[in-house]
Amino acid sequence: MGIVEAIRQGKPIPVPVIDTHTHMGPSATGGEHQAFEDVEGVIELMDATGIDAICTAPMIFCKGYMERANEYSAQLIEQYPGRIYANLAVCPHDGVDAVKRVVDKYGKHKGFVAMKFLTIYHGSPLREEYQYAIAFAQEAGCPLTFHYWGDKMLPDVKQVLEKYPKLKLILAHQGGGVREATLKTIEVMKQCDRLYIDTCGSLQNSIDIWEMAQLAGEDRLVYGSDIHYMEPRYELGKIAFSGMPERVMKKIYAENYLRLLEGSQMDHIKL
Amino acid sequence: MRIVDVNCFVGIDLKEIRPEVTPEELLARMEVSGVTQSVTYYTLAEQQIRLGNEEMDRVAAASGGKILPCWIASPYMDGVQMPLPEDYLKLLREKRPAAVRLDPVNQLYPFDSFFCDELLAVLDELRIPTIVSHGKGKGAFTILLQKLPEIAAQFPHIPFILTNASHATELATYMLLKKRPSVYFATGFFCGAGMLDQCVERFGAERFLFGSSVNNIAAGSLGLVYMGRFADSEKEKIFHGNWDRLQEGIKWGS
Repeated sequence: MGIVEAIRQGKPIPVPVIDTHTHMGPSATGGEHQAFEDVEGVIELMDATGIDAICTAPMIFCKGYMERANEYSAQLIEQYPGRIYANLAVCPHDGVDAVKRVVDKYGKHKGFVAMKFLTIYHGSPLREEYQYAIAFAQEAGCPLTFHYWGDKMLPDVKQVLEKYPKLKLILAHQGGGVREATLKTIEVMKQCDRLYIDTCGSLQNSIDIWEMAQLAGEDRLVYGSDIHYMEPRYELGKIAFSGMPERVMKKIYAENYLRLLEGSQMDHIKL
Repeated sequence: MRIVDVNCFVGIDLKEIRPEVTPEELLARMEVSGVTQSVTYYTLAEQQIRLGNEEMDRVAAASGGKILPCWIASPYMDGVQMPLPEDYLKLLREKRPAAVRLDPVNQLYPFDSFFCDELLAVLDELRIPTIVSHGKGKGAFTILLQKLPEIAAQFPHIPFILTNASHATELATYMLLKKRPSVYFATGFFCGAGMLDQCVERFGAERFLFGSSVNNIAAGSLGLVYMGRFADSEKEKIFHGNWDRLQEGIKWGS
């Protein structure tokens, strides 16, 4: 059974799916709401939809709780082996020493496969506090994801890519969340084959995922949903019903990300 | 499965710099997604109401029933762009659009009974599905959501269908579902994790209609409904049953 037919029948997606962009824990920060707050609810949704594994930077990370977020991730990795992995969460608020401490502690920790910054919310990636972590990501060969919206931070992104010539960078939210920003990001992607975008959670982008893949390259998108802040079935559908060939769906759902993890000195996802 | 999408448009979307969405493009997108019929407005009518709605009727008539006309309306019923109230009732009865669409947030009019009562009285008499674009930002609250509870109570026969809601107005969504039975929601932006499952369980699938998000993109909504953790019969209601019921409820009269 193909992917679209499986979804139409309400069955789990029959190919590997890795959600690279998740935040465990509910959020009521901006007037939003979710129907459950426990991680068990997320696991149930993963089972029902066919999501094999997720990479998380817990929701408290958004509020700047770096150490607590990574501790929570480590706990979830133990609790849900093979289903929950972590993006090492780095916040600048507690200073350079705190960043070094978490990077050194979790950089080689079981289940931590990549790194995540909430740039824009937490400032520019050019901040001094981030530099040690970016250097680590480059050296370790793991992907680093920036929260990203609009196009104002694009010059900073370009600087980071120039300063760290081996860094593999993912810009979240379709590289800017709205049409004009995504198109600008794609122009940079054409110049730099180390830059990727995730498919996560823009409610406003008028470019659909298939068009995005055709413009940016089908190897340059990775799947993300923002669960459990946002609804993963909506995000899965954006790919499955976009009209793209199943071959490309499989790349976006998991293959592109697994390729990004190849050669990384951090832990790896085992499907 | 027959699928009716209640949130489609043709024309130029002024919010973005890109070519006009043609009826052919909409039909092609529907074909890719497996959408059977689309309830569609012409963006021209956001500026030139009469001309845009007439154009919409022509597009719909040429579509072989795949595109259903949705008319833009404004409360400014002085007989120029919008007819006088009594003439509007006659016009709607004569032309029978599938729905009417209001966008007070973007068209900047106060959505209250002082300004809108004449328009809303016509819609209430006909019981015609009235699609309301939710809009973004503070306007969604100050212009629309704060007023809708009162309006829905005052004009209880209008089936209001909210589209383009945002993930930051979920409290309003929940309370309107709970307290205002004539308010419905399109699925396009229904994005808090698990919320559609929860709301279908608590308030019934009858309150939801299938709808695209921006740019007639139905893909996300299809995933949300097809993979919903509720019965297939509930999915059918969302995909087309509720729309059919609302259409049957219109009081066109003689």
